[in-house]
Amino acid sequence: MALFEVKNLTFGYPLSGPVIDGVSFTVEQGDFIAVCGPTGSGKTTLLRLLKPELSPLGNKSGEVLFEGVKTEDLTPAQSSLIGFVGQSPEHQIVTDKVWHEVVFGMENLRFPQNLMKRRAAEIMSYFGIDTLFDKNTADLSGGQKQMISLAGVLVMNPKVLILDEPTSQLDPVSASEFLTTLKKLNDELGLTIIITEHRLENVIPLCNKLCIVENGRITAFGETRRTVAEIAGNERIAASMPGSVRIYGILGAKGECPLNIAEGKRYFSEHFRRNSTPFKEEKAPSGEKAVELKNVYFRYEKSAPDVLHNTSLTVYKNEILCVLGANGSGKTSLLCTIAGLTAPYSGSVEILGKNIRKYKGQSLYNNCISLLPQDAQTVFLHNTLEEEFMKAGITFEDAPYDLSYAAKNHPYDLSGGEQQLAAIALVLASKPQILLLDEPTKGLDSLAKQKVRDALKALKRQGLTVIVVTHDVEFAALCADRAAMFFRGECVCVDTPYKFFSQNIFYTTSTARITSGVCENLINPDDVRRYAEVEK
Amino acid sequence: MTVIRNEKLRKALSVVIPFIFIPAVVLSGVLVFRGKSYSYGIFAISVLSVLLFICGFDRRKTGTRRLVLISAAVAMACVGRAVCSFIPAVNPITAITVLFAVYLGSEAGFMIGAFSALISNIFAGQGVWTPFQMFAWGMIGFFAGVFAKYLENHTVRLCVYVFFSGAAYSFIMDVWSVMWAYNTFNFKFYIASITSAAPYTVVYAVSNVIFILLLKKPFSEKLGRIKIKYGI
Amino acid sequence: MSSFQLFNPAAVFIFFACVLVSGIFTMNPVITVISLAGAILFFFVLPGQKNNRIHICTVLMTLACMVFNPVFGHNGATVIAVINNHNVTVEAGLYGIFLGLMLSAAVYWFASFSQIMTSDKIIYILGFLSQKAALVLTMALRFIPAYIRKAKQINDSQKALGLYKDETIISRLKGGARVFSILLTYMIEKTIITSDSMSARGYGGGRRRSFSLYPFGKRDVIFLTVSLVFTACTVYASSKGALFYNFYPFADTPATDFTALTGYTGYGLLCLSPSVIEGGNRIRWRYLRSKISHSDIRFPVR
Repeated sequence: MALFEVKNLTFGYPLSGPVIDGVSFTVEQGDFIAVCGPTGSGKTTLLRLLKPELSPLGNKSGEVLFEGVKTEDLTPAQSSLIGFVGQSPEHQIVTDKVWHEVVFGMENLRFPQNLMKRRAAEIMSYFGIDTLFDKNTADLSGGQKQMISLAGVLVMNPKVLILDEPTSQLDPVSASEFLTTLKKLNDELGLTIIITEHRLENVIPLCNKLCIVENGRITAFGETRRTVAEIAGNERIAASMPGSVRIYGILGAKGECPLNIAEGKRYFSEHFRRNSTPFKEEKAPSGEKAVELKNVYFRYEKSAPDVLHNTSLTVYKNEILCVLGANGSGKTSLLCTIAGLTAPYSGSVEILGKNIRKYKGQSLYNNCISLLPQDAQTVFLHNTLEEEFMKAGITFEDAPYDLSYAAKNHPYDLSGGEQQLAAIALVLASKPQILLLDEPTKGLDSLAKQKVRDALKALKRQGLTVIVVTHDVEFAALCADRAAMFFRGECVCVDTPYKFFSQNIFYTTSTARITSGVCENLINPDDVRRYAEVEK
Repeated sequence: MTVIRNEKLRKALSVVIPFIFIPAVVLSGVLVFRGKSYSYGIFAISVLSVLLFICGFDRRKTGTRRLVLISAAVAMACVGRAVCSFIPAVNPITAITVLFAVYLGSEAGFMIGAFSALISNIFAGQGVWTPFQMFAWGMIGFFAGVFAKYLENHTVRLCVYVFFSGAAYSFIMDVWSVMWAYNTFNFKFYIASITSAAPYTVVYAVSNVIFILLLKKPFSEKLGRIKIKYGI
Repeated sequence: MSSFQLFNPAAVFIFFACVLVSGIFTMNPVITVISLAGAILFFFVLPGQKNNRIHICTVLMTLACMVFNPVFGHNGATVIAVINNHNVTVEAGLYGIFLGLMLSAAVYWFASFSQIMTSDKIIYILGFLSQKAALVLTMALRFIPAYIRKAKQINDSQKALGLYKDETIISRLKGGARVFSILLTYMIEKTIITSDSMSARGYGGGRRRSFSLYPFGKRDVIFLTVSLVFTACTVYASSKGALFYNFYPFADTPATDFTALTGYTGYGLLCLSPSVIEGGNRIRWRYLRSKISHSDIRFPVR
């Protein structure tokens, strides 16, 4: 018997048309299914309809059967066999201690004491997080929080695990660690997994089935390699696919589709014929300096280690500089130092040729510098976007993109990408010359990322200097004038993107990894498109 | 009362405890601790009534979202107290408790007030005063919930309520501490302690009004929205 | 680590309740002195970080009580001065000292109490009364650090947005209200995610079975029984009126009959017991640790 059987499911929220429109599919025991599709296509609603406690209220027709039983009729014990992990590591933690979080579900199901203790011990040993047992949940990193949430679900011994963008708020290292754990659960325990994910390059090599959702309908569903090949021509969906799949599509989609870098490399060397030698003469930005840091040292506390250690960096006017680096390498502290929120204990910071200490009062933040922190929601104060814009003294025409369609919405009801764009528009209200952004693409899908990219380029044309801190190498490769790498509080290298990414071996884009050794200077799928000779 | 499995027994206990057990504990204690009978009496009554409220809260059904919101409100009040701790005699617990109580009802109001006292004292220092504080702030929240209809969309009434409840809180704490320490109904002591604490009382009552004026608008907008959107 | 970490929190809680209730509500200077002595002893015996400002605090408190009580209270027969037509008496001063010592004892007991009864133990005890209340407590404790961090982030972002117009108090107050308002939206919206996460793990407001890290063992039974027996002695003496003591009009001599002595002894042993347990365990631990060092060589050298 199939684990899940969804028959002709249609669902609509009150006051809106159908969000899910006549969807049918089955999930077999042991499947690892990735559900993908653009934001607003109904992925999350679809997943929630599979878990009775989280099913939204609205008009529903058709049915969802779990092991032959309608989800509405499941007992709490049966329903606990469907595990659910959401996207926000910060907010799905319920209790203050890790051990309590892990046993929380078992307490609800009233497991015997011994069993609770045993399961908690088992799962924490299996994940290798036993040292966290009596820590406060507040002291954990995002990746650890997500692991604890996963552990808290697994202790109830679910048959199927549903995950709604579980890694969207994590840095790349924790994200791939989390996904590897899922693969391990699937391989070693035969756990069925259904996951939605933006970062498809990590998921596609792991899953055995792929489900494409567009406008509330399933447009493709089936074995991964076949489904990927099927949609290689669909630009809207393919844009979010891993580099190897995109290159496969660009090179004519012949033969078997490569799913990972190794397969992609082989495919590329076999099928790529260049029409000309890719040569990109890049003009390194120069001229007037917008920001100059000289031998800056910073630490949070007297006895803590240095966060910025002998950092020197020059940012020129009217460039987009992307700062890359691992967690804790000092990227965010760099932004805070430039924005004057933290003061270095040694070294000098010059903003527009003037020492930052000479900006008295709030003058640094008027027509000079603006910072948008990692969480765009920290900017929203009012009930509608319209009110937000009005109180900030700007209009919808001022922004380099259109948001007026969402004027009446509450900022929290916007999608992640819209929130980011709205926040950038608000940050621009003080007419800054230098814009600082911290992880602007976190949790965004490829379409939203493209919008952010276009927005940044439009701002550059208006004469702004933009400094972006990001983990997202693909994003940096597409929009940076220069990219900088931070390591242990120090700027290790700064270079133009083509030099930076084609000379990096490990920390580079998937296109660069696939093409290196065969053809240099290709760092984006678009470069491949430009220089490839496609046989018609 | 979760340790007792038997449904009937639990129901019987829920009647016996408030009406027989509590007076019994209070009276027998008063007889035993003859020299400090008043001190003991007020202490026992405030401890036991807090416990009674908590048991009542446990028995009633509370939606999950509401429960999380209550916890979040408690956390908010504690953060507020921590943030304001550098100004003597000023903390937003009364204001935050009252505002939440108006929207979430009297029972939630009591819990928010009482637990804010308990938890913020983990940071600010536990003492014999903890039960008194729990009781006093709990009652302020409770009555705000009771009068919610009159307070909800009326900033002036709300200000009056927090002003007087803030003043009453200070008075009651003063009277209690005198009664507790001296074990007498001595008006001279009361007046002495109330006059010496008067500046604090005034600052506290006025600061409550300021908090309400600053926070009323965001509260009504935001809690109103969540009530509509998620039906809490 | 204190050996009190090993006891069941319920036993420890009942012990502290006994000490405090019978100590604070018995009007007798001997009991007060015993309580204070036991409290200070335990305060020093208990391992861990000590806040030494507490001593200054208690001394000042005692002095203040000693000075202010005669100023306001004019009972007592032994007049030493007359100020503004009011008698200043020795008895009132004695009562003040007694009061100060009693408060000091409570302060020391509570200092040890807070050190032993960490938040998860308070949650455990509250769980006996109401699981729902315990859950509220644990969630609130989980939210507090998150909100503090968030408030700081919001403040920074507001600052970098140029929303603090100047450095005046009004601007700051408005800024504070703005931070609060944003935090409120954030908190209210995010509680939905938390409650979803609870429902997804089977929470439905019904009865749960609390997982306990604290078994109730033989050690707890003994500790609890002993504490209750000692308390019973004190309460017995108290209820017989043997511990009753008058400050006014003349300060009594504390009673020394058999019942009173039972009360003193019982309370004395009660107050002494935590220090004895802690000290005894420390000696035992030293002995046990001395055995560890002998097995230090792991790779036999040939």
